[in-house]
Amino acid sequence: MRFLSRLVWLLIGGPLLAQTVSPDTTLSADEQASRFLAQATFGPTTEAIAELRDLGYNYNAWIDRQVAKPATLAAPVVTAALSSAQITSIGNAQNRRARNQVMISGDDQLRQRVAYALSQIFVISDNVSTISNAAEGSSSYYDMLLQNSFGTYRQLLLDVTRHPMMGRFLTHYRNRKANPSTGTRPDENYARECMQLFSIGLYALNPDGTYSGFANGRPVEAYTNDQITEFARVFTGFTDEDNNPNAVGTGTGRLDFPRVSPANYTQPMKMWDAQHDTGAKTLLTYPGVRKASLPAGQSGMQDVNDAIDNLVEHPNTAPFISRLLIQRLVTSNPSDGYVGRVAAAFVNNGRGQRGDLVAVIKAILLDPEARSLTFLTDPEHGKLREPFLRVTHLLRACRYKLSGTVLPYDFGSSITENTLGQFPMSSPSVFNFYLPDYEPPGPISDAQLVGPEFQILNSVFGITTPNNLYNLIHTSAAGFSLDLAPQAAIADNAGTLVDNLDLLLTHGTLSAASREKILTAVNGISTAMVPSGSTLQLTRARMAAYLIVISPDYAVLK
Amino acid sequence: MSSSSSRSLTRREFIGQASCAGVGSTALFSTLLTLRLANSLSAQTAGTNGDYRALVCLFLAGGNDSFNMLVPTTGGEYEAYAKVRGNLAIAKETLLSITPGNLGGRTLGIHPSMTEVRDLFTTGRLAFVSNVGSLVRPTTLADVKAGRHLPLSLYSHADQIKQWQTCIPDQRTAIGWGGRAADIIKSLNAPSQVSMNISLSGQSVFLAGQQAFTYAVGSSGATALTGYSPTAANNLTATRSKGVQNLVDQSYRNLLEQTYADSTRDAIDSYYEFSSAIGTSTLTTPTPTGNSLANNLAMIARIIAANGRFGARRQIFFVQLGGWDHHDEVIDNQLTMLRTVSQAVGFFNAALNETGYADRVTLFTASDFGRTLTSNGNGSDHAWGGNHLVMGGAVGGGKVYGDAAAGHYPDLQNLAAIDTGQGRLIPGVAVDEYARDLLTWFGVTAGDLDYVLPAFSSRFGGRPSLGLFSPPATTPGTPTTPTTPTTPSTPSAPSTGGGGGGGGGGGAASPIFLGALGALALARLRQKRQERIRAEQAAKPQD
Repeated sequence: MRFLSRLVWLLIGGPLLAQTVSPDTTLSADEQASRFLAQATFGPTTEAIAELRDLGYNYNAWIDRQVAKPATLAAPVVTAALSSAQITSIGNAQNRRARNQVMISGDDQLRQRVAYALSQIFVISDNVSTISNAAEGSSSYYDMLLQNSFGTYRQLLLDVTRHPMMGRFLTHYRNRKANPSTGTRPDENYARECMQLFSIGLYALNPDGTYSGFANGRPVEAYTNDQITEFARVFTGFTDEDNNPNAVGTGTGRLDFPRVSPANYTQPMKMWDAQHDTGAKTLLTYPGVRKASLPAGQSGMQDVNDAIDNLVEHPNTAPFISRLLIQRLVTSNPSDGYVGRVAAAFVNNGRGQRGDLVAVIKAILLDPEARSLTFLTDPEHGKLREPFLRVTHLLRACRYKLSGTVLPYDFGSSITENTLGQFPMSSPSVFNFYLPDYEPPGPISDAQLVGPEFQILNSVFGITTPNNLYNLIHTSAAGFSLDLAPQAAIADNAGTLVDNLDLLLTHGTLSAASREKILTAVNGISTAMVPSGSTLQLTRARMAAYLIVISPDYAVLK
Repeated sequence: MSSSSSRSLTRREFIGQASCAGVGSTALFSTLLTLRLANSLSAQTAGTNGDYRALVCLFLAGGNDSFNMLVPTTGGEYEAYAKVRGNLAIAKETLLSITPGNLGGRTLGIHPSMTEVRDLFTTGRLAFVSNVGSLVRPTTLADVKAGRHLPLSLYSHADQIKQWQTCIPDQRTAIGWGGRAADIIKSLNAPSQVSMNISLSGQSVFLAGQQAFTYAVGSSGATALTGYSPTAANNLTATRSKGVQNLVDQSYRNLLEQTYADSTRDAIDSYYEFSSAIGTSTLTTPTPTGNSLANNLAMIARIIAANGRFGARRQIFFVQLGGWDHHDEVIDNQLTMLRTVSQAVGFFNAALNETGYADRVTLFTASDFGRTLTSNGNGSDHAWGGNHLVMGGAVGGGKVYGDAAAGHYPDLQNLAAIDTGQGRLIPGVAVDEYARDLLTWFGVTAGDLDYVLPAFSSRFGGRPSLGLFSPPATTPGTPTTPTTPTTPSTPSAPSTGGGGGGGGGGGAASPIFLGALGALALARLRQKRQERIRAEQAAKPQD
């Protein structure tokens, strides 16, 4: 169908294309580096582009250099602020600031960007009190993602499963085996979402992510509800680390577990075998499966490890996770070939190892579909830049300044999920801010394509997001302001000014037509229009920056 | 497989197959819609501006454990309830007892924190609909065991949310029944920048139509684009505004860029009309404090009261309240969350009384699914059928509507035929049937139902109306239309027609045909946009 839609596009859309705006495709090496950094970091900076230039624009070498950097962790930022008495307690706002800090300023930008992508797949959210009230728990969870970003998918899935914040969010913390006397049975929540969202997905897939089979015109489902029930039995028995196994509680149901006080929000949950279902269990069956069932009497952690292996090695997992990561980093509608190439790297990193995330990241970022300039003019290529990234890309491009001193990376109450439609680790549910198959009504849906980020582009966020950008450019927003002095210094020449911002914000892809519109506005500013306290040059720089960030050219990362 | 015989298709079969084709069906709908509009317009031109009606969809996202919202209390029924729910059962004496007018003396209990809802029920302003859920066709336990005719990915949040909102549970489509209703009916409204379909909760599948788009606002209304003014002249704001207009008015080759440009342009323009329309529309009814849902419903009440300034005779609203996925702590959380719902619904009724629209507005709940009757220790898991409430002056209140064969409320003493396991109940009422009653009251004619609910007539057309609106609704705008659409020509038994035909439709619809239609629709949309831009530019005062 994709092929057909493209064909019809050429036949019928062709005449229309003649009058449409198309990205600039003549990118300098620096501009190409900027484009790469927009996919791989929280935003290109002049310095980061220079670093790539010094590396001879060797992206592979840059990735290797990034992989070698230690992780810049968030939880230590808040705990240090607490221990030095800069703050008196750790609340949700402090965790958010700590994560903002490491994401936006961390030297390990690729790791941060990948962890942020993972946070939109292995979702927990601080919009529930069990997360927001859990001291530095949510930052600890993000740190766990950081530490696994360049590791293996298997370890990542295991650490996600055992993290006490995931235990709270998907409620397998203190999940008990069935109790025939009270009629209770294991909680299915984690089992279901772990399969549907974190590993194999709903439908049986080919290695390139296409549906592998149809029955009655519908894709074959990858598992049944009975299999969820089996996995739910696997994920029983988890409780806090450091508990006293003899201190059995006196409550009923969930509460009848040992516990520590205060609860442990950062260390992996511990398996308490007394509440683990030790019966035999059926796992997923597929060609080459090593253990399609678990014998009775295994320890809880043996069950969990075997079940994780069963999911990791499932043929769906490589294409399913690969596609999600491509969508987060590069493009909403990757070709089957692109998904297939990344999934192949997932299956085998070249040294016979499965799930090597560095190999996966390299396959995503170095693929021709991510790098080749020919895709710039493909009407289906690219992704709507996420609102949070529209903010961070602007901040980093224009040398943000901070006004606060204690945990100063503070977006306050102005730049939040309420004005962006998203904020890291604050999605409405485990289904993230948008679904990977969301089809915005209109030309994208008509072309049978998806645009996940469009799910949060509406008449509310379509205004409030640009307003945040406007405030950053013209005054300040919460704890941030921009340094546009370098742009003001070159603003007497409108062309030079726009080219500079094009390099940093639109990576040389700003269309000739949009450039012309922006030049007209910049050149249309008379001295009489300059606000008091400003200069003509700064006013011109602000005009150019604002019009670029509100332009479709910037909104869609191609 | 449906027959791929050479006989020509009736229009209904044509639509049925299109709806079953999944991908590609959206473009086909566009074409059918164009054919359809002429009919519906001629049927609905009667009436005056006094015939305003609105539907409000309150979506409880996450899956409300609604068998604790509406509990059986008659003798053995409560005992069965208490047994299956275990530690999730609500004590009988704390329930708010009701005796519905149509249950032959069976009593039920409303959740103890829903006093406003109980009062609305007893005063005839509110009804319940029991055990509603997404169905591909009337479904038996044998069907479930055989995996026949089931909604896609049953019990999964994302899919069930979509299916409630599309009424096409065996296909993936991003077009909802509220959107399709607006496709048909929006021409009753005067032209406006503000869509007939308004969301207080961002994008929803429910409100997305082929042509009807969603206008999203917050509980405090719409927001202006900072530093922008369409009327500024000869100053910095005018220069900036012209720059913004120039950028979003261009036609972009990249589909994502074009979609962003359209969306941004519409958001900017709609603000001005919206704000001036609701500026003078105020309420004196006090909003319950700390109740975000009530704040959203207050904005809806204000928009409704301003309908004349939008030139709107019909509006559909969507508002969502999340956080219902209670795998844990279901008892405690429902105490506060159902109270929030009850206070908000009670407030909305009072606000509509104040503005005089109580008889013209119907609010109904929807949710991902019901939850397991059995306990997982401290909560419940994803299930299927669930209970819902419908509120409004036109509603035949004080009753519980449901599968008549099951006495309108499932007998929990006798679940063997509908329990798929762990207390997951096969719905007795399809969402299609629930929607049919609501849409018929709203003014969708029987003839238009096959566009708005494309699977209804072939799958559920033989079932009688739930009778939610009694006395039978007489739609002012459609004086000649039978109010209870006894589907004119139910084509054949469900087993040979719609249900089983789903798969066949997918294979039979020609991809080339659908692809070409898609491209044509696309070209037409782009052309329409160009025309609109040209018209607006011509109408603009020259700087």
